[in-house]
Amino acid sequence: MKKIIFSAILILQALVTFAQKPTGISGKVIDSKNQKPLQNVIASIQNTNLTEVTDADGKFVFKSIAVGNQLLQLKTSGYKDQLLPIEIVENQILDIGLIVLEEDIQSNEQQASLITITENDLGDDNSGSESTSGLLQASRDVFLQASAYNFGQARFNVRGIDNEYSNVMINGVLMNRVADGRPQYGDWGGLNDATRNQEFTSGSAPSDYTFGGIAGTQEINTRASIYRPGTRISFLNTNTNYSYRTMGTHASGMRKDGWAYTISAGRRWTNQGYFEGTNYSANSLFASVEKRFNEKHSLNFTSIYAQNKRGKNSPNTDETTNLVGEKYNSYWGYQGGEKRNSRFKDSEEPLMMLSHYWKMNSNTNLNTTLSYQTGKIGNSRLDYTKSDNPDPTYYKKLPSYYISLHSSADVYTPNLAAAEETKTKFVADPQLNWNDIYRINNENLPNGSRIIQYEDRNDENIATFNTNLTSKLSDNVLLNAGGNYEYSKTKNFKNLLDLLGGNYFVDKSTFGFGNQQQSDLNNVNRVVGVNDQYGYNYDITSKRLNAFTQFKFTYSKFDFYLAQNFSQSAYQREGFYKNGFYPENSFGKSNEVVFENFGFKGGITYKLTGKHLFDVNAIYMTKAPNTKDAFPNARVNNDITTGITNEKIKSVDVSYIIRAPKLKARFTGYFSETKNSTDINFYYADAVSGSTGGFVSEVVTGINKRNRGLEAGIEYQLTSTIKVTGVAAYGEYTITNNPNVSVKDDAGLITKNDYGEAKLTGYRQSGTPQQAYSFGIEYRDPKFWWIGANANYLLDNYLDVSTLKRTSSYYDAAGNTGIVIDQNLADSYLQQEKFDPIKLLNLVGGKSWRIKGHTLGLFANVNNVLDFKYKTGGFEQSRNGAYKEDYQDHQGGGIGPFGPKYFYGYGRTYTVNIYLTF
Amino acid sequence: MKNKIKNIFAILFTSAVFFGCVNDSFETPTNAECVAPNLVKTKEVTDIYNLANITGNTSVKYTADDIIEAIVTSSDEGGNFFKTMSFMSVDGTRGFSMSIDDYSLYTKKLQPGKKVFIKLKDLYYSLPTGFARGLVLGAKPTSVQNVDRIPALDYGKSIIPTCTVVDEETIVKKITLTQASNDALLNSLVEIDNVQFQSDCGTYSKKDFDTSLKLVSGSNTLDLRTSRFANFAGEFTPSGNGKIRGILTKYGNGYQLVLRNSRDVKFINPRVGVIPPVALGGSSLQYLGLFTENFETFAVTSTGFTTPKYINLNVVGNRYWDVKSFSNNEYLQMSAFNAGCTKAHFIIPVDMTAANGISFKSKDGYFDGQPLKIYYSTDLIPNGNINQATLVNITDKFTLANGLPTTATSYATSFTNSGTYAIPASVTGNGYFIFEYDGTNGATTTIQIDDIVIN
Repeated sequence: MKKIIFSAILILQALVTFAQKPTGISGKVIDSKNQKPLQNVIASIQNTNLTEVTDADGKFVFKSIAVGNQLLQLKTSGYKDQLLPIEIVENQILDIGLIVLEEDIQSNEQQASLITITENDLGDDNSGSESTSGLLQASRDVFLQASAYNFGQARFNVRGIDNEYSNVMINGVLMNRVADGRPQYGDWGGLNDATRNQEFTSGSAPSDYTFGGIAGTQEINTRASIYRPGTRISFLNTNTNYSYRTMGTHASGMRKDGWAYTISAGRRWTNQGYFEGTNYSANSLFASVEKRFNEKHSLNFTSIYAQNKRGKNSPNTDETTNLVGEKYNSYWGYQGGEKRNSRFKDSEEPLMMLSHYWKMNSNTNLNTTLSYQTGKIGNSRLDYTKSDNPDPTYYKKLPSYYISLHSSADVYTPNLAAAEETKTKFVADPQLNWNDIYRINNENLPNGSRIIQYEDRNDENIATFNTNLTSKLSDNVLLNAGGNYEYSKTKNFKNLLDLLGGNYFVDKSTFGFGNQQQSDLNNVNRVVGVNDQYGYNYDITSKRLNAFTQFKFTYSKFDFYLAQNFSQSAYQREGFYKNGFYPENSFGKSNEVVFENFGFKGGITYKLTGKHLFDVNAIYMTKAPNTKDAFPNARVNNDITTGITNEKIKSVDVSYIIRAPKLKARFTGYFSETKNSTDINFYYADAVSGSTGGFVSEVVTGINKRNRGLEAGIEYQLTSTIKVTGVAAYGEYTITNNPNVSVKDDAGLITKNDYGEAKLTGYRQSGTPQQAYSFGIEYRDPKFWWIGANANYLLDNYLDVSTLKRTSSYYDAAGNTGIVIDQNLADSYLQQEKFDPIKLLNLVGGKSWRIKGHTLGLFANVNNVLDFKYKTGGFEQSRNGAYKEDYQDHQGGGIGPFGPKYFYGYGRTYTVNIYLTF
Repeated sequence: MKNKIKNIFAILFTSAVFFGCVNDSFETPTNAECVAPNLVKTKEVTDIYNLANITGNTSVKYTADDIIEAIVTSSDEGGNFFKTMSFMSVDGTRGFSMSIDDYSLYTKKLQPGKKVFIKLKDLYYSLPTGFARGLVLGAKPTSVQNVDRIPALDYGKSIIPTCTVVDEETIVKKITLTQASNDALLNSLVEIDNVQFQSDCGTYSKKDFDTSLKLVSGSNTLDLRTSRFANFAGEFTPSGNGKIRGILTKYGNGYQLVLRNSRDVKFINPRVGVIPPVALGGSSLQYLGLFTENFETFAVTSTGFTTPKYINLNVVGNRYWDVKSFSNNEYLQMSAFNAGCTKAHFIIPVDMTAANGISFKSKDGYFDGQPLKIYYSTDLIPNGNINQATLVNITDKFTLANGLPTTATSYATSFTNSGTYAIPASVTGNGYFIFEYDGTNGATTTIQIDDIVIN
C-alpha cells in the first residue's frame, strides 16, 4: 500500500512540470492603528501552495503566480484575516501597495480571557468529561469559535470526541500523555500571550506537523522571532475558577545581531473560586531565545515553567445539592477559621525545548526539536485507617440512608426521625471536620496517625526527539514528513503530605489477612512520615516511535491530500513494592507490551467557484491503548489487561463551505467510529455477585462507539458594523455494542471475575451535550469598541452509566436473595438519565484606546447572564451492583444513598480584562 | 535597550506584586476546650448488677433517671471488639459491656481510659447466663440478643464522655493467669505476666473462623479469643514469654481474654520450657565424595527415620523426617500438618573435597507455602548446637517442587529434578548438606525428597 502511494506521487510529480516567468505581486502590510509594518504576516495565494512571510519592513513578494484572477490571503495571529482579489498579469510583478491589517481585538481578547474548562477539569477524578475547548480557541471557524466561547462552559465537545483523539503539540512535540492520551493544558496555562501562535486543524483534516487523530490538531509555535515585538501587560478579574490574573509579555523581534527573545510571566490566583473552598494559585514563566546564524540556520531555546495548585470541588448527589446547593463542595472544612481543601491538584512540569530551524532551500524546511520535560503532578486526598471515613457526605451521614433503611431480613424499616436528625446535622455542618481529625490523631500519638493527607503522584520524565520536513516538490505538490521518538518514564506513588497532628503513619492496610495487609513485603510495617512514599510505587515506561508522510496536491478546481502513519508503542511496568496480595507479580518488571499501529487518511476539496467549496476528509487508523488501560491494576501488580488490543478508528466528514465577502458558512456532516477501546474504573462495589463488596477495578474491553451528526455555522455581515452568527450542532453519540466486563478486587472477596457482556448497545456516550444551538449578534463600532450577545441552547447531555450494572450480575440470584425482580422497575433503574436542556445567554464587549502610541484595552464578558443552574455531567455510582440494592434504595421514594453524582456548570460569571501594549 | 529593561521590570513587577496571596498553610488546631458535662452519678455499677441478677437470661428496661460513672477499658481500634465496648466502674470493682451500633468508637471520645457518664434511662440491661456473660447494657432486645445494639445516632445521648482520660496503667489489674477465672473481673482491663502461647507459631486467628489460642503459665491455661476480622488476625504470635493485656470476658463457662490490638502482647522474654532438639541416627557418619541415596533399603517410619549414616534433627517441635513409600518407591518425607511449630533438619555428611556437586528430586503435596530450604555447612558439629553452625543457604540454586501446577489439595504427579549444584572450590574437607523443613512461618506443605546424588 505504501509503495503504491509513493509510486503514484512520483508519477504525478513527473507529469507536473511548469515553465515560469517572473509573474506575481508584491505588497507591504501595516497595522491599522499605528501604521507600523507588520512582520511575519503569512501571505498566501488561495488554492495554491504559494506562501510568503513578510519581512521586517512588512514586505512580501510572490514571483511565480499563475496568470488570472487570484485571491490573496493575509493572516497573522491577533489580526483579522484579509482576503483580497487580485489580477495577475503575465511578466509583471504587480505592486498592490499598502495592506492594512486590523487588530482582531475581539478574538484576541476573547482568546486571552477564555478560561478553558480544561484547566479546571472538574472531572479529572471521575469522568472523561473534559472539553476540547482549549483546543478550539485559536480557530477562526464560526462554529468552532462558538464551541469554545459559548458551548465550552457547558462542556460541549465537538463531535463528541474526547481530546485523547486530538494531537496537541508545542513546536511539533506531542503533548498528549501516554497515561490517558490527554494533554496537560496546565503545563502552559496562564501564558496566553506566549502561546498565541497556534495552528489548528479540525477533525482529521491535514496538519503539517503530524498525522493526527480524529479530534483535530493544535500546534503551538514558540519560535522567538515570530512574536510581534513589543510589550503587553494585562490584568484580569473574574469569578470563575480564579479571581485575578496578571500577565506580562515582552518580545524583542529579530534583532540585527541575529538574536530574538520573548519572555512572559503570569499569575492567577484566588482564595475561593466559583465553587466553595476552591482556591487557586498558579505562576507561569516563559522564555524563548532564538539565534539566527544565517539565512538557513536558526536555533531556538524555549523553556516553559508553569506551577499550578488548585483546590478541587466534589461531584454531588442530588440529595446533597438539594440540601446545601450546587456550589457545595464536600472537600473542604474550616481550620483555624480558614477554609482548607483536602483535595487539590498540584502540578509543576517544566518543559525545555531546543529547536533547529533549517531552511534547506527555498522549497524545503527541516525543523527539529529536542524536548525534555520533567516534573510532578500530585492529586491529594485524605487517607484513613482504623477510623471512619471523614467525608462529610459519607452515605451514613445523609438522610437517605435512614429513609431507605432495610433490616437484615430485608424488611423495609425507614427511620424518619433519624433521617430528620441526620438532615439537621448535615445542613448545620456539611463540611469536613479538621478539628476532629486533629483530635483523633492527637489521641493516637503513640500509635500513628489515623487520618492523613497524601497525594497520588505522577512524576513524569519525557524526552522527545521530533523532526519535521516540509518540502514543496512542485508548484502543486507539498510534502510533509515527520518522525519522532518519545521516551517517557512516569513514577507513580503515594506521597505523604501531612500527618495532621500525628507523628508517623504505618503503611499497613486493614484490608486482607496477615501479609496481605502489607504494601511492600520487602519492608513490612513500614513507618512513614511527611514526604515519604508509601502504598504503591511503580514506574511506567513508554517508548513511542512515530513516522508520517503527507502529500498535498493543489490545483485550481481540486485540492487533495494523502497521508500515512506508522507508530510503535512499547509499555512496561516496574514495581518497587512487593505487594502483599500479589507477592509473585508485583515486584520487578512486567512483560513489555508492544503495539504497532498505522493510519491512512485523505481528503479532497472541490472548488465549485472561489466562493463555494466542497470538502471531504476520510481516515482509517489504529491507535495504541493508553498505559492506564494496559495495566489494569498497576498500583499493585504487573497484570496486563487481558484481550487488550489497538483501537480501530474510522471517520468521514463532508462539508459545504461558503466564503463570500458578507456570508461565511460551513455545513458539515460527519461520521466516526472507534472500535475496541478499553476503559478501566476503580470504585467501591457492594454486593457484586453476592459478595460483601470491596474496592474493585473494573476493566471494560472491546467498547465500540459511533459518533455522527451535522454541524452548521453561518456568519453574516448585516452591515459594516453588525454581524450575526448562527451555529447548530446535532449529534448522536452512542455505544454500539456490548463490551466485556471483568472485575478484580485486591481483597479477594469477589470470587467471580468475568462478568461477560454489559448490555450497553444504544446507550448514549456521556460528558457532552449532543445538540447545541447558538445565535449571536455583534456590533463593532469603528471607534474601536464592540459588543456582542449570544443566546445558546444545549441539550441531550447524558449521565455516565455504571457498566457493571448492565451485566447479568445485576440480576444474579446471589445478589437478589428473597426478592422477585420486577422487570419494569429494573428497566426504570437502568434507564440512562438525560440532563435538562441548558439555556445560556452570554454578553461580551470591549474597547481599546490609543494613548501616545500605546494601546490600552478593555475586555469584558458576562456569561450565563440569567444565572441558569445546570448539570454538565455526572456518573452513576457502581456501588450498588445488584437489583435488590437499587430496589431497596428506591423504597424511600426519594433519592437513594448511592444516587448518581453530578458536576454543575457555573452560574452567572463575569470576566474583565484590562491590557496595555507598548 | 534601557526601555526594554524597563519593560522587563514592569512585567516582573505586575506578576510579582500579588505573589503569596493564596493561603497555603494552616494553624494546627489546638484541642478545643473540653466542656465537662454537668452530670453527677446517682448509682453505682454494683447497683445495676444487683438489679440484673434477678433478670436471668432476659433483659429489663431501665426507667429511672439514673446515671452511673465508668471508665472505658476496651478499644475497637484493632477490629477485635466489634460494636461492643467494655467499661469498668471507677472504683475498679465491677465491669460491664455495652452493645453499640457504630464503628471506630475509640476515635469518638471513647478511647480506653476515658471516664464517661451513662444515662441509664430507657436502656435495657441483662446479665446473661449463657453465651457471652457479664452485665450488658443496650437497646431494646430482638429475638436473639439479650439486648440490642444502641443505634449510631442514639448512643451519644446515653454515653456522655467527660474530659478525664485516666492513665491505663492506673486502671489495669495485674493478675496471675489463675486469678483470671473470676466473674468480678469481667470487662476489666487485666494484665497477666509470665505467660506464653502454647503453640509458638501461628496467627492470632485463622482466616476463615474466629480462633481461640491457649495462653500458658506453668500448667495453667487461658483462652485468648481473636476475631478473624481483627486487623491483626493474620499476624504471627510472638514465641517469647511475658506480659499480656486484654479485656477479660466469659463465654458460656469459659473465660477468654480479648486483645484490643497486638500491642497488648509484650512477650519479650525467652520462651520457657523449650524442649531441646534430640538428634536421631548419626552414630556412624561417613564422609564420602560419591554416592546416591534413593532410600529404597530402609524401612518405612512414622516417628523419625533413624540411620547411622545420617542425622535427623528436630530443631523446633517434635517432628522428624520419615521414610515413606508410594508405588514401590521410597523417599524422605516431612510435613508440619497438625504438628504445631515445626522445623527439622536432615543432615548428610559429605567429603566436600572429593565431591563435585549435589542433586536431588523433590515433590510436594497440599502446598500452602514453601518450607524446604537447603544449606551446606563445614563447621557443623554432629550432636552439637545447630544454632552455632554456619549454614550457607543454597536453596535458590535448585529447582524445587513449588506447588505448581496447583497442589493445594493434592500431590504433585511427579518428582522435580533439582538440577546440580556445583560445590564451590573453596569448600573443602568434611562438610554437610542440610535439608531443612521450616514450618515456623505456618507452612504445612508435605515435602518429599528422593534420589540424592553426591558426585
